[in-house]
Amino acid sequence: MIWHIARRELLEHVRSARFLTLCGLALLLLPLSAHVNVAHYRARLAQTAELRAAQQRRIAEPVTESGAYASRYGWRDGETMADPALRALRGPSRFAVLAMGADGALPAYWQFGTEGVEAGPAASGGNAAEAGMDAVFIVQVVLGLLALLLVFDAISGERESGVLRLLLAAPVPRGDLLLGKALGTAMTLALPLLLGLAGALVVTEVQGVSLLRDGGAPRLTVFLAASALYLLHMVALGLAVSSVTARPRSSWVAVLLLWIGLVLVAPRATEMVAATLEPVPPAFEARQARAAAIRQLQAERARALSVIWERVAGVDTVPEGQLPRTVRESYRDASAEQERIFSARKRATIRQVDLDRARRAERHARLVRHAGRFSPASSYAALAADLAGTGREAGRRWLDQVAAHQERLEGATFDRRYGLELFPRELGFLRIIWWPDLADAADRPPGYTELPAFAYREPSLEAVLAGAVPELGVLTAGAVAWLLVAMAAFQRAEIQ
Amino acid sequence: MLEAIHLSKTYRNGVRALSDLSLRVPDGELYCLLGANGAGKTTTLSCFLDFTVPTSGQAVVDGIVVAERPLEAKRRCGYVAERVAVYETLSAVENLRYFARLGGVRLTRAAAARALADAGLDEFQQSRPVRQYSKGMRQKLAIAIAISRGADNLLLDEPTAGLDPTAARELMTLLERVRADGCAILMSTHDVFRAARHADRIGIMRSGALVREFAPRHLTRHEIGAVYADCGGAAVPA
Repeated sequence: MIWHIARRELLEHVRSARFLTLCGLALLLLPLSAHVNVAHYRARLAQTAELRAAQQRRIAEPVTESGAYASRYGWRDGETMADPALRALRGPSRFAVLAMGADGALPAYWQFGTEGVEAGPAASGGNAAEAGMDAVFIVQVVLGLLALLLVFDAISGERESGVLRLLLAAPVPRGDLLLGKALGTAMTLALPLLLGLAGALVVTEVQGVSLLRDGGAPRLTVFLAASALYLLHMVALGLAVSSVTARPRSSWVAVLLLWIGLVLVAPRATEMVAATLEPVPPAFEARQARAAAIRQLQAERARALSVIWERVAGVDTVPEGQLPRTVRESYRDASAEQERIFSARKRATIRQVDLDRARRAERHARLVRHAGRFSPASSYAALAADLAGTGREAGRRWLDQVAAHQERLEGATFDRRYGLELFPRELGFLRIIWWPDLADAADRPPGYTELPAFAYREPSLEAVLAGAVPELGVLTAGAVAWLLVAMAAFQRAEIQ
Repeated sequence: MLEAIHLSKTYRNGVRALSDLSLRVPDGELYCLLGANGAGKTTTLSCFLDFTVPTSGQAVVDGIVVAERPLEAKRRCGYVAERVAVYETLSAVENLRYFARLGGVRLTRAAAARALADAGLDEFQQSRPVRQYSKGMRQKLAIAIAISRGADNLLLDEPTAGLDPTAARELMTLLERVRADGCAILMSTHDVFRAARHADRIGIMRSGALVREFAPRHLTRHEIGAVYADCGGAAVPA
């Protein structure tokens, strides 16, 4: 019987002007947005290729003087050198064509260095066009509105017209009537969703960006399921409104307000609330704090090393020319322990500054996510972006892997000593450096190719799905809850 | 058979719609409920269809208490509302097939067309969208829907209201045919004369209570009109 009711609802909906209008809009916008976003994707690919080429050029440069190793010489007064060879490059996700998420806002690369990791510029480079339309936005806004428009008068409209009396006079459980209406509307919405996404896929395939190949099909399936779940949530919400309101005009006003509130306002409001309650200090503040702490440590280090130099050399003056090997070795041995302690303190200081900011960013993100769960549109956007690999989860995964690689580089080169640094008292805290001997493999830093290479490990589909479970759960629970509200109101309704 | 046993109903807004109403409509009988607007006629019908749950008392259909087994009770009832509302974009055939299926009866297109023809809708009218129908045509469709599932009981809420005399006469002829098949018919109406002519019994309601019940064959139309006016109904022209 549910199927019988659903089929009639489907036939009624597909002939309605509201369906034809919004369905047409979705069918136009979905392929169009895919077309525009493929261009963004290509621009990002070109940007990454350029960065990679610069990286390769730098790696291939012959090292003719020891100063070329400057980016790996331990202490830099708080500033990380912009060495193109020591970068983690983040290419675009092809699924950003459908769900841009935070793809444009995340850095195009992260710079590794002696003073920690620095985020590069945002991938979008401030290009406002990238904040435009994607499939997620169209499903969220256009199809979300269509879902509400199809069901807002499903009960209240039939109550006012009188059809409900005839329906309820039939020996059909009220729950079946409601489920039939929900199913019929869901089937109706499946048409623009499937056709629109199929159109978008055709556009991307024609333009040479395949979303189906290389394991893309399962992701797309889950993306489709998430979209369907969001629309089902909206249908259930609309049915609940229709069941609790007496007249279709009241239902219309209520769903319109809910749509504005949940789809347009809530996602931005949650960001605003989170920015007020859990502000994240700007990156440059963290950079300044880090630089100040390192400068202070550097001063302490200089004082400690000048004492050691006096003890080893017996003088507090700067020697002329290259130091005899025996003096260099004695000084290095004598200062090794101090250097180790200062390096550890420096790392701890950097980590503390970074950790403070990361914690606040994490609290901010958690607040946005949790508060966003009140809005199905926010949950859906977060879910779709995570599935596409362009969400906050992907950003966190990149940061984790970048941080782990930085630690590997610290062990391999950043925290090791090459050449010598002297801080003779007569010159105050002026640092004198003897560059390492290039001919001596034990003295010089390792070449780029000798360092561990950064390779981002894509999470498996299972891991992505596991991460998506909370949002899927929230959307499912919301849909069920609204359906129960509709059911309870409809069951209790007296037809006068 | 339809039976109301001490039915009382007070709505959530405090309005007392029924007050200890008892009546019985055996199979093959047409029972007309008369009464002014707000007397409780529609609420009485609503109790048989589970549109509303009585505050006390029982509505019983063929021995089944509606509040206890509403679906089984509804399976045995056909219903015609005062204002016939069906799906406007569908044709009569499509509406009939849809609502018959909801009632558990699968009608072929041909069977639906026959049923509509029996109710007085010709082939041309059957294929037009219902939004183009007159009130009389809508009533015929509603009757066809009501009897399509072969229910033994028929509930009609002021079915002749707004119909022209010919359409009303055709409707009553149709009801007589259904009654002759053994159907129990409970009909609310303001049409005293038609009730007097066709009903086996008449009940007059006032303020939710059944204040008079009689067989019209024992009274003249004039006497029935007087009784109706006496019981709070509208004055009946002589």
